[in-house]
Amino acid sequence: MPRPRKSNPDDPHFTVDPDLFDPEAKHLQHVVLLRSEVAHGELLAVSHPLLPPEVRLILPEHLPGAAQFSVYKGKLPLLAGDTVQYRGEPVGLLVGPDRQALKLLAAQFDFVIRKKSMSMSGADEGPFRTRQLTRGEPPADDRPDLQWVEGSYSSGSQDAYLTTPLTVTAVPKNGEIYLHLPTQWPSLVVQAVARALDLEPAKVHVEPLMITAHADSLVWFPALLACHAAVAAQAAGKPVSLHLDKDEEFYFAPKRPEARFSLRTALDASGQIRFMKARISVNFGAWALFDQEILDRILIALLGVYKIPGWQFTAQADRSHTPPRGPVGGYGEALALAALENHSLDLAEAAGLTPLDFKLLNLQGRDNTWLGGHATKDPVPLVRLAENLALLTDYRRKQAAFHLLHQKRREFFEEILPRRGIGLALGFQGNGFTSADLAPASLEVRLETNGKVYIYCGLLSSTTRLFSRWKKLVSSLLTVPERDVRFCKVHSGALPDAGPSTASRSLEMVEKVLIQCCEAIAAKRFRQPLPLVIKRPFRRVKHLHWDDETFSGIPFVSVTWGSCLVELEVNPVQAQLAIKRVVMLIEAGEIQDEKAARTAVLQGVQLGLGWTLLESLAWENHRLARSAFLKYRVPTLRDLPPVDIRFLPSEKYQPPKGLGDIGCQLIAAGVVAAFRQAVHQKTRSLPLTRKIIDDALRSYEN
Amino acid sequence: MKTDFILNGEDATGNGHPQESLLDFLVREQGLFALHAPCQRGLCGRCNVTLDGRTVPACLTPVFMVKGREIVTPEGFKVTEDYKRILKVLEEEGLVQCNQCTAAQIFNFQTWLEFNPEPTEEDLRLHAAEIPCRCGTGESLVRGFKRLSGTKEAVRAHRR
Repeated sequence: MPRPRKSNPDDPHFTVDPDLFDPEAKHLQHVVLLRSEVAHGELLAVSHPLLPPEVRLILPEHLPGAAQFSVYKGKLPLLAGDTVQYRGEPVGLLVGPDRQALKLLAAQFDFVIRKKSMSMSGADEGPFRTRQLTRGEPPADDRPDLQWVEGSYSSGSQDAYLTTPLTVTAVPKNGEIYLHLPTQWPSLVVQAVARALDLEPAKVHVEPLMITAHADSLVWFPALLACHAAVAAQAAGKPVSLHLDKDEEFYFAPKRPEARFSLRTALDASGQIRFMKARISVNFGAWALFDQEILDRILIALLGVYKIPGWQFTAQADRSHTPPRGPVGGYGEALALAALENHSLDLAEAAGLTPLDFKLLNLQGRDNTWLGGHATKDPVPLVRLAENLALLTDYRRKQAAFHLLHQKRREFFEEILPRRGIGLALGFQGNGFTSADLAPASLEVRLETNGKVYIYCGLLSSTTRLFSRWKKLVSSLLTVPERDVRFCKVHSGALPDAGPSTASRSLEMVEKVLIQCCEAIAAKRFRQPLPLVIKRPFRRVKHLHWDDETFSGIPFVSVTWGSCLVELEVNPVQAQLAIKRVVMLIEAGEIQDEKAARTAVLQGVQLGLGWTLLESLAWENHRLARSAFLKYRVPTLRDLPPVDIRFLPSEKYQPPKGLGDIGCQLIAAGVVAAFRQAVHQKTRSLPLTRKIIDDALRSYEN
Repeated sequence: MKTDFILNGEDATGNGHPQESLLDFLVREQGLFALHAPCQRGLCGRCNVTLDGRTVPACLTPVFMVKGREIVTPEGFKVTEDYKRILKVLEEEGLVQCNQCTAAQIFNFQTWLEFNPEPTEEDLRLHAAEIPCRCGTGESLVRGFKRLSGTKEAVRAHRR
C-alpha cells in the first residue's frame, strides 16, 4: 500500500529514519490519559482493577524528571499531584498495546478525591496576574466640562476546532527520544520533553507535522502531550502513540478565554476622549499560560486605536476550575477591539456624532505618533483607512439611510420587514510577541562543500508557501539552484530555536534573520573556504524598543492595520441575522501574492464570524455540557457572506506584513456595530446567540 | 472475520468484526492513521473513502460491506499524479492549507466530480461547505475546481 515516506538519503543532516514513526511498527504501544472526574479537590488515593502484565500505570511519583511543564512565566503540572484543579486534568497515564482495551480499563479507575469548595470564577483564590497601568490623574467625576460614558462588554470562549489530529508518536532509541507530532513550536517540545525526561535537549528530536492555520492554541498544548508520550515511551522502552479523540480534544484542549470589559470614558464638549478607565478580567481557566502576553496585547489594543491622553487600566488574569485557556486566532486583540468598538458607539451617541465622525475626531495617527505619543517610523494609517473604506462602501449615505429607515419603521410599525444595519470598525494586528524574551528567533545557515545550502530553524509553517518563498529568496541571494536549498526536517536541542510559527513571526522575524544570514554568507563566499556557517538571532532595531512595565515604545516588530465594514439584516420573525456584505480594507505593506493574502484574511474572517455568531461555549458547574461537542458548529463556506478584501497601498514602501489574524480581530467589532444599528439596542455580549438577538428585537419593539 | 479487499490498488486483508466501522478497521489493520475522523458521526467528511468508486464515510461503514470490494483512501489518492495536478491548480488559485485535510478535501471534490462533471458554481460552493475546516480556503477550492472541471470536460470532449 502506498504510504508517504520521509527520507533524504543523500543528505546526512536531514535524514529521518523512514521506519521510525511507522504506525504499523511492531511493539507500538498506546497511551491513554487518566483524567480527573472532579473539578477541584485533594487527590487521596487511586483504586483500580488488577492490571494485565502488559499494561503499565504511570502516576506523578513515577515521573523521571521535572513534574512541571512551563512556558515563559506560566506553568502547570504534567500530571496532577496532590490537588486537582479542573475536571479532566490528567492524573495518570496508562500504557499498553491495545488502545481500546486501555480505554475500557481507564473507565474502571477510581480516583479518590476530597472535593474542595470553589466559586465559579475561582475568585476566592485570587487572580494569576494583575496588570495596572496609569497615565495622568483621572478627572473628577463632577467636572462640568466632561461627561462620563460607561459600559460593560463581554465575549465568550471558542474552541480551536482543529483539523489536525492531535497524535503524538514517541520513539525511544539509543538513549535518545524521537517525537512526531503537530506543533507550532518544535523547540518548546524539545525543551519540555528534555525537562520531563531529565535528558539533554540534544537527545530529543522532533519531526513536526503541518498544523492548521490559526491554530494558536497549538503553541504549547502539543508540547504537554509530547511530555506524556515521551514519559510513557521511556517507561515502556517501546514506541508509543498518544492520540486524542476529537471529543476529548474538544473538552480539554485550550480555548479562547472569556473576557469582561468595564470601560468608563470621559468626553469633552467637542466629543474628544480625555480619559479612559478600564477594568478587564480574562478567564484563563485552571492554569495560566501566555497570560502576560494576552493581557498586554489587550491593553495595547485598547490604547492603539483612539487618542487617549490619560488612562487608568486594571487587567487581571482570572482563575477558574475549568481547562486552561490559550490563544485562538490571535492573542487578545480581538477581545479588546470588539469591546472598544462597541464602546465607541456609546461614546459617539453620547457626543451626538455619527460613529464615523466620532472615529475621525479621535483616531490615532494624525501626528505620526502611536500608543500615547510614541513617534512611529511609519505613519499610522487609521484615518486614511476609515476615510477610504467609507468612500468605497458609501458608508455615510447608507448609515444615514438605515437610521432614517428605523425612524420610519417606528412610525408605521412595519414589524416583519428585516432590520438593516451597517457598521464600521478599525483595528490592527501586532506582529511578533511583545516580550522579546518570550521566544527567540535564531537561525543557522550552512553553505556546504557540495554547494548545497542547509537551513536549520526548527520552525514549521501552516503552509508550504512560506518555505517555497524562502527557497526562492535563498536561491537568489546565494545564486544556488532552488533544489539545493534544504530545510531541516528534524529539530533537536542542538539546533537554533526559531520560536513558534505564530503571531506572523515567521514572516516578520525569521525571514529577516534568514536574509541577514544569507547576506553574511555571500560576503564571505569565495574569500573563505567552505563550509560556511552563520548563526544569528533576531535583534530588534532601536526604534522598536518596548518597555512592558511603563508601556512605552513600540511593542511589535510591525503592525498590520485594517478597517472592516459589515452590512447585515436581522429577520424579526425568525430572530436570525444574515450578513449581506463584508468589506475589509487592509494596509499590510507589500502584497506579494494577492490571492494567498486574501485567503489568509478570509481564514481570519471565518474564525471571527464563528466566534461572533455561531460558536458558543458555556461552562456550567465547571464543565461543558455533554452535548456541547455535538452541537458545536463551525462556519463553513455556506455560512460565509460575500467578503470583499482590498489592500490599501502604504504611503511609503513597507515590506510584507502578517495577515493571519487581522480578519479575526476586526470582524466581531464590525458585526456588533452593524447589529446595534439594525436593532437600535446596546448589545453587550458575544456571541450573538439566538437569545440575544431575540431579546434585542423584543426590546426594540417595546 | 477475515476480510479481503483491494486497498488503493493493492490486495489487502485484515481481521475485523463485521459490525466494526471501516475507519477503526483501517486504522488498526492497515495503519492508516491519517484517517482519524474528528466527528465519528459521518458529518465531518474527513474519513471519506470510495467504495467501488462511490464516496462513503468510513466511520459509518461496517466492515462486512467491504469484502471483495475496492477502497481508495485519501492516502492512496495523495500519491497519484492527479492529486499533484489538482493541487498545483488550487495553489495557483490561492489555496493555503495546512495539509491536514487538504488531501481529504481534494479527494472529496474529485470523487464528487466523477458523478457531477458539470457543476455550477453554486454546486461547488455547497460541496465545499460539506467538510468543515478552519483553513477558510473554500473560495480557493471553488475557483480551482471550477477551472479543473472545465479542463476535465475539455479532455473528455477531445477523447470523444
